[in-house]
Amino acid sequence: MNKRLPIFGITCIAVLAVLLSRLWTLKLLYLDSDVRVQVQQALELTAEEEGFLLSGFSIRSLNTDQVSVTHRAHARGEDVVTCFDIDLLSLTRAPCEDSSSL
Amino acid sequence: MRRLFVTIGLEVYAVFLALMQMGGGVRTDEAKYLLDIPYPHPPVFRFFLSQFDAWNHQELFVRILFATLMVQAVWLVWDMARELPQVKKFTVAALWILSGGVLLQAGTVMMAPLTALQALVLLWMIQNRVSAPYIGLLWLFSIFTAYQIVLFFPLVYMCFQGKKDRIIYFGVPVVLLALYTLANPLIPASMVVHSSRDLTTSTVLDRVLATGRLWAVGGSVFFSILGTWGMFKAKRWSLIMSFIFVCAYIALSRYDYYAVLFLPLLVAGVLARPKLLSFPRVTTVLTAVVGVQFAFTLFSGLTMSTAREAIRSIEAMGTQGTLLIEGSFGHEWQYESSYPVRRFTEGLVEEAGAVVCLQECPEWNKRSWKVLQHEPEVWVREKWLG
Repeated sequence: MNKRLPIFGITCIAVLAVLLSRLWTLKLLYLDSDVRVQVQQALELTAEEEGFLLSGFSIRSLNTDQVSVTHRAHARGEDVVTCFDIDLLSLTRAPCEDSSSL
Repeated sequence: MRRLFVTIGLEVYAVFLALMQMGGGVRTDEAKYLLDIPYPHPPVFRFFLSQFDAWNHQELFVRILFATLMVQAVWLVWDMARELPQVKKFTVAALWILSGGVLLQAGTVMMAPLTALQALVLLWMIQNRVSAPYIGLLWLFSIFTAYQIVLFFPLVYMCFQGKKDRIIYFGVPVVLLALYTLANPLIPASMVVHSSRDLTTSTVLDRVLATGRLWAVGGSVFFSILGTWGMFKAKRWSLIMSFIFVCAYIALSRYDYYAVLFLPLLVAGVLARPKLLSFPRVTTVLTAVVGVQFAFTLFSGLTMSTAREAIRSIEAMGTQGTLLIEGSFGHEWQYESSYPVRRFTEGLVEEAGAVVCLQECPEWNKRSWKVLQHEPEVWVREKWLG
């Protein structure tokens, strides 16, 4: 790579690191079709019952039993962020146990 | 000194175009970028815009910023035309600022004008033989601004041809974009939903005509003809390939705001065959007449958005609490509202201060509620009506 502009390489590596970390969190969405369907149902149900838009959801963590999601209510100024742990079998949800990183 | 006066004059023009767009309020796509709602485009620009979304004048500021970028880009066009006689240089510059793409879209908060601008910068870099790493950086930045920049990949590929680093500078940003898309499942989902828009109700002929209309609008007819003729006559294959991709993309998507994507290709087309500018003054005048006619038709037809009007009337009551909306609604409601916005569900009525029905109002206990307005039907708690 051209030494005159290492910023291109540094930027690409930084972006790649962020994306790989995010993809690692979401890997079950692509590897397990059951989990994929359950997550979709969990998000749609939560959106319907809470009156949320789907575009506000972001997945924090995911395993075969539970998905942890945040919902950002996009608005002018500071957005209200809500966090839920959703059981993928029963689709019941509770506020996140660990919401320190919101 | 003369250049300073021209710059100031252009800035006045940019502010005028931005103010004309203010008449319609914020559109749903604009709200997505202003609030950094994470689809459909990558985050670079919308993240920047959202950093000051609490500011009262965010919309005006961003419209002026975008209009300024589009209008002042004429200096790039001017530089690209530096080898032409003075009168033809003026004509090419005038074609840019009087084109339908600039007149109709310079003051919109959309990614399409930015993509057009990035493609123009790319063409300028290619003409000036800027080194590959800088083009790679622009390509990376553009790709993380909006997906549609990939329509211009033949230009990028051609300029890296023969360079040993081309795989890195051309390919790595594309791979990163693919990974970004996988990491944000909402994006492919929304693309699937929107890609079938009108597909079942429109014929191939409808789509060809709609694409032709946007091609004509983008360059105010005369610039469109000259630019397209120029790129074909000069056999500039990278331009022609990009032109075909833009046409195909518009035919499939049919959004009016993509007309501006033709502009950088038209500039390069005219510059590839400047002999076509046989009657520069007449061309400029005709382009101006058509462009102004397009702009007059658009701006005189702008009406204030339903969201802004409804929210203003709710705010005038001093209402508090959540705003519930029944029916499908766009992101402009989130942008305009000073209240939390949620879809209507009966369980949320308790915390609501107002309900807007964009379709038939649902049933709930309306004893303490009154209708504030019809079309759309807006209900507020009785206590706010005094």
